[in-house]
Amino acid sequence: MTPQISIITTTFNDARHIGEAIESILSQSFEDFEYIIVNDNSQDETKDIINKYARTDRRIIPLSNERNLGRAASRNRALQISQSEWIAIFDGDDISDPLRLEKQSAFINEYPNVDYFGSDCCYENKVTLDPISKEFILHTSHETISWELYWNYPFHHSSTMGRKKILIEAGGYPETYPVCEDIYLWMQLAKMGARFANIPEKLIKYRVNPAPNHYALNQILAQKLHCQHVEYLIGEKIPPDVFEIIWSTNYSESFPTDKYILSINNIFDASQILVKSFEKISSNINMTRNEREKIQTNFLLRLRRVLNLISTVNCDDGVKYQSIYSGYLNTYNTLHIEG
Amino acid sequence: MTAISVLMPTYNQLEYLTESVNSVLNQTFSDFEFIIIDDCSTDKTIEYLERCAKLDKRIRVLSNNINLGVSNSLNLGLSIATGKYIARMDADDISFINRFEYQINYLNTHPGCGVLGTETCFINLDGSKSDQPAWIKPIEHNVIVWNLLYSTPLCHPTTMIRHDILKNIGGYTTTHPNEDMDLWTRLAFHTSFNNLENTLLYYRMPHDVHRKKLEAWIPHIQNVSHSYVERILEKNVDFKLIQLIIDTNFGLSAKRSYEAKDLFQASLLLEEVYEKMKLIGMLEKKNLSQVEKILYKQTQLIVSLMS
Repeated sequence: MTPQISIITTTFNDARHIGEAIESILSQSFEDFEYIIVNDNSQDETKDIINKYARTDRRIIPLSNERNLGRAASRNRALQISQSEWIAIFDGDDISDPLRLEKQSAFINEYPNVDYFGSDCCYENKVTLDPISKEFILHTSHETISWELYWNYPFHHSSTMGRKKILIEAGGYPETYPVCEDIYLWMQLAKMGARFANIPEKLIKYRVNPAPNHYALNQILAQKLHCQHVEYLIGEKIPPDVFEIIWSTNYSESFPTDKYILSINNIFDASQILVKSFEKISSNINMTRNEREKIQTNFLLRLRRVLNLISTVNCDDGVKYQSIYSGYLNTYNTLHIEG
Repeated sequence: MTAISVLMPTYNQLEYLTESVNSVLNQTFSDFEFIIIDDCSTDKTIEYLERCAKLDKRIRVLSNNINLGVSNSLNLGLSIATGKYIARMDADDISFINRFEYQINYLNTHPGCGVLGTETCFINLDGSKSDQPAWIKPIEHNVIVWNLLYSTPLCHPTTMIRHDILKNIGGYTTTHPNEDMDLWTRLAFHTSFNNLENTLLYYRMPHDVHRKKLEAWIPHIQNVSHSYVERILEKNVDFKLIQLIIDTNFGLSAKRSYEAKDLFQASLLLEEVYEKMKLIGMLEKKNLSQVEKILYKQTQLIVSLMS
């Protein structure tokens, strides 16, 4: 019998966490799954730990790479051999709630048109294992997730499930990408018209690395991919400096945005792009009133954060400054009243 | 023991010698020996230098029987130098009269600094002197050590170097024609660098020629950078990635197209170099954010080449 769900974990040199991660899957209340674990040529005891569990539970299918292939290629390898209609992604340093698969399986039955979905999570410091409180607004409907995907991460990758068919159609993960392979996949899925959702429950415990690898590339590439996604939406090129200003709206506090990109023109262009994107998205007549309001609130928050940057700019051209600012305050106020 | 040994190689630069030699002899700080190495000039350089040596006994003239090149000439000078500091000087440049005074003061009060450069102004083709800084060289050690990955962040003839450190690493090598960048990349493992913000030398090289010359130097910069990166990481590094990083830095990347894979590898290589430099203490713990900012910008440039 083909299992209902194939879980995919790829791991590299994470002997400290992998055992706990595996146990959190093996002890799921929902039991009809296969569990493909890819050891990406770890140099520590990861392989022995995986094999130890594989001997006691036949649902585990251990794969081992002869050289380090990276997360994208490792997951694709598992995707190819997976048997189930549904794929669940789970990282080797996280912990799944014992009810995760049960709840996700029930979700599939309840919402049969959904193709790809995740859940909320709680955070823990990967090194100290202390809980971390992090402000993350989880969007749950297809429309709001699609909006969020233009600017930020709408999913916790380690909590996601997707139809195998659509993941294969999307070409799996981009194997040349050392980071951001998840964002790339999401954008492919969005372009293919996949239906998104999130379950508003904390179904995984996500370990946050206090000293993340490849921080610079991760930040820059994520920006680049989001920028391309918005360019695709509004049909025009966006300079990286302008997009970086929009990107900074993901953070309520100060962001390492270089002073030089903060010109009055860049801020103006950034606000224009937000407005154009919002107009484009809100022309969709299939949206519910509730979804429209949520997207509008998010749009206004980002617009306000962009406009607030004006106060940090030294502007010689006082007239221009005044007209842009008051013009946008009007837009903002109008929308706010309507909302 | 004298405070400074000035090393100045020269080859057929007779027309500039009066100004360059006088700019050293007239320094407000006067405790130095002035070692001039004539690299077998075919003009009347040697006669001129011998006349100078008779007038000022701080001058010592070495004369090569055959043309040995800059690195060998400098090493010859170094072998007889007795100063605590080595001051470099080029025979077609002009030092400001207070150059040594500024540099000595800084080095005496900053014992951790092993190499000290200064800002420069150009001497134009018609001989007139510009009052605009020729380059804006980085001031901080961290930025200098980082920029050495793809450029020459110290102007060779402006530098004053601690003699013992220079001696310990064996002086100059003849492996690369850009002997200065090669020297800095070797010194980077042993000492710290600084540049003074003050302009203390006139550098003879007009802008347009500078640009042309630079393109011809790029392959040499790539070679030195490649060996620098391999020594930092203690492993083999794909030369293609170094080329990509340096092309990007000189704005040449627009002419070429790159695979996404190489762009990612190049930016991860920079990140790996940064982590390793921190780990082995090549970067000072203060001011790391400046290097992080540069790394961030470089990553942005590299990723922007993705189609």
